Amino acid sequence: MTGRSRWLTMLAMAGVGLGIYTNRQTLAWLSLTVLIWLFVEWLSFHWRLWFELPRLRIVRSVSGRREATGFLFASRKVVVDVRLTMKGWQTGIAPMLVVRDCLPENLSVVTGHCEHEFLIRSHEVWYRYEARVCGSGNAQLPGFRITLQDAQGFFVAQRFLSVPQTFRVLPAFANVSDTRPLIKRINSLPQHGIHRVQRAGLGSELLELREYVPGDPPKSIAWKVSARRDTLMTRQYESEVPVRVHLFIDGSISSRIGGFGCRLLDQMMFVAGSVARSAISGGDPVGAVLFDERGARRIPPAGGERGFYRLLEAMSDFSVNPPPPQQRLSPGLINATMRLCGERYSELLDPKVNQVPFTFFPLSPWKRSERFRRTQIASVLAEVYRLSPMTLLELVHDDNLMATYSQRLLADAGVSWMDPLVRTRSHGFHDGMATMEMLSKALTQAVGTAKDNEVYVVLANMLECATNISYLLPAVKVALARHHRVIFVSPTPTFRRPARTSDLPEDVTAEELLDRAEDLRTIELASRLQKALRRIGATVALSGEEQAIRMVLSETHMARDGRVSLSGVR
Amino acid sequence: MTTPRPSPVSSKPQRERVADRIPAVDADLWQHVYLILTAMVGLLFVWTLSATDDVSLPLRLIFLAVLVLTLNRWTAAVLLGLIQVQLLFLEPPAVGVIAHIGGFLWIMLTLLLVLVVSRYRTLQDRTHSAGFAAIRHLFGHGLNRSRTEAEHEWFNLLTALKNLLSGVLKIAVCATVAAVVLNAFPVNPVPGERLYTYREFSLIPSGYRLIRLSLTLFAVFLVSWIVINESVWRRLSPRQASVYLRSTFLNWVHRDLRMVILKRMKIRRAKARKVPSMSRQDGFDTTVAVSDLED
Repeated sequence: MTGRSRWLTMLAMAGVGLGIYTNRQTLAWLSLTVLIWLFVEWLSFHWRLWFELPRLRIVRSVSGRREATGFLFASRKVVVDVRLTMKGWQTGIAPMLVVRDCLPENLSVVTGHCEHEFLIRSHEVWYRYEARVCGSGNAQLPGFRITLQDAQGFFVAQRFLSVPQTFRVLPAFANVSDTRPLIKRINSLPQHGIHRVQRAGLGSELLELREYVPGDPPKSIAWKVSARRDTLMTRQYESEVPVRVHLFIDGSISSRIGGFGCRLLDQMMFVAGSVARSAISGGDPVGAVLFDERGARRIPPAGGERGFYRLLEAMSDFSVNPPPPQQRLSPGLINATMRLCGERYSELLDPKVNQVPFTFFPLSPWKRSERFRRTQIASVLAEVYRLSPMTLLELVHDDNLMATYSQRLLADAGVSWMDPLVRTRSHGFHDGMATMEMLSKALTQAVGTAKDNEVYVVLANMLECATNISYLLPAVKVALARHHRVIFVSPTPTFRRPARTSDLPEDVTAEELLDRAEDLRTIELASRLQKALRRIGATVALSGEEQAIRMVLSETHMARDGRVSLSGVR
Repeated sequence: MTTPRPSPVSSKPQRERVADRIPAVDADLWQHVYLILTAMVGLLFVWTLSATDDVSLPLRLIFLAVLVLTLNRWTAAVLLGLIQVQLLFLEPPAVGVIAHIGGFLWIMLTLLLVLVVSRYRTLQDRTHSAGFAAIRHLFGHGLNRSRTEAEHEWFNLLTALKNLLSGVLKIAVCATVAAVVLNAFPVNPVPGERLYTYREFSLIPSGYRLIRLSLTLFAVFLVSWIVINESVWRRLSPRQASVYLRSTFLNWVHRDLRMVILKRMKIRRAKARKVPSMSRQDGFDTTVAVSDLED
């Protein structure tokens, strides 16, 4: 019952009473008509709610797929078709009904609407919208939120119809066509100790000339040399030795904070996916080491389409946010949980079903309503996670426990790591140090198992770790001493390359000043990082753009040729 | 200018072609239709007020103001309240059988006004477009419309009016039922029936009539409420039933369990305070984190 109908009911009752008591016929008649009208609407609304609505069937197909699981690619558009029918009901779907597809944060609507409203009775309705997949990981479409209402807005009810579909979202990648080295070939000579595997093969570089053996292809005969020596000579070419590319991807807390598609991890995944695509297209096997607070996972180098998709799947699973770090209970967290409960478990919040025990305390109405909401949320959480009544009551009184379960509910619903789920300012020094230790360990292990000159691409939030870079330098030195290539790609949170810009204008806002301060901090950290890494011969790219991909691929080319690069920042 | 919303489409090409031919239902256009209707019914209503001599000009202006404000700010309840106040003070008392067509039409007109205003506000809540936008559309759009747009608007106008007709019929039935109910409880009983007087019950006849009517209406409501409630309880989902059982159990043992939990929490906090401060190798003191958790 909405406020409108409550007011009308009160007025009508008062009107009937006064009209009859004072013998005002029209007043009594009018008021009684309103009362009967409301009663009829109430009956008809309940009929629709309890008998018609359960017969509503909704089928959703995402890019033509109706299955419960599937896969999508990040940064691509998907077409979602929704079909609504009434099962075994001849009268059709009654108005007024609003159906909204509850989209996860990882999907954003591009064209059309994910919501559809029924103003007239219909038998079957189809609607379509386009959405863009923001970041890699997964996208879970839980179902539809249905708002049932009468035409006058006297009664309203909300229900959730579960139509779950879960998609694994593979990282986006770009096909980089031109991957030639950026430095001049003439100036680059192999370093001492760098050995090239020189075997006969079908490459383009000339290995040697040898005497013709029956069976050699005629086009490989070197005619001029054969004429000079008076015997048939054959050109022998070098074998193209594949270069193994190892991607070290950092999935620590700092790289996961932010909205889907804006996380540092999404930038890293884009660079990693593009590097892998180009390297595998060139015949080089690509492996990965995925590390975060939970530990490291190694994907052995593999080539071919199967190897590429296996790598993408591993990266996609890695991109799924784990349970978030524990936060304190805040009003924002409670509000977010309540909103989610209202959207997905609205029928469980009905006070008839979800009863709240009566207590004298707290006395203030604001605190009482807060306690009421919290108890209702606790009941929903207890139902979703199958908790006992004892734990339910503990949720009401224990802030830490409530925060843990609220975070879990939000994380399971696919909410990104932003306020209020994860506070962005509470992570800093310790995380960077832990990341460096973990990366150092992973790099040393990779060097220990390496076979030949390999390329190590480190994709990590290096700016955050700049103060603790000394933890990593020994491992990098070992890798370089073994003639491997080490490239650091550190995306920036602002999607901008830190640059020494000109002075600020005279009239600036506080926000611009804060941005400028953040830029200065980033520039300072970036220069410190560049100095430390360039000194030992590693290459650094401070962006998650296409140029970083080109740089990695050109380094791979040079590793194949056994040439040296001018290490430094691109 | 209001752009037509994308029509429902299907993935099958045949369905798409059919859907393209059928103009889509547009909530914005319906809102415009209800705005026009409100204006028309409102003017008619004010005209009925001015038809009687005893209504002063300020009162008519007040009605107009209420009608305009109802479109943007208030709900139909304010309008109804004002009409009731007007009836209470200006309608002459009368006893007898209700059977005049004029009263019936007036009640229909009043409730039609309440209906269109309510529907207009409901659509406004959905579309979030203000009444001024609708007026601008009506006057600004003019005659520069394509044939498709005209067909689209015409379709929406017809469907909205068709939809309104069912509402009007419902009101007409309700008004008739109300008249029948009121006639069933006369102030003066029919010959042969005893008259319950002031002496017997300390009530004036109209008071007695009011109590009888209230009790009857309450009984009707109670019966239907019990029937609906019973069917609702039988249609609870397993999840709802589980939440109900858990919360009911908690209601019964709430006091005892609360005491147990509060005691547990107290002990846990005391234990946390006793944790000795540990200095880590990196020079960071963990006591900071423990005290943070306690808060």
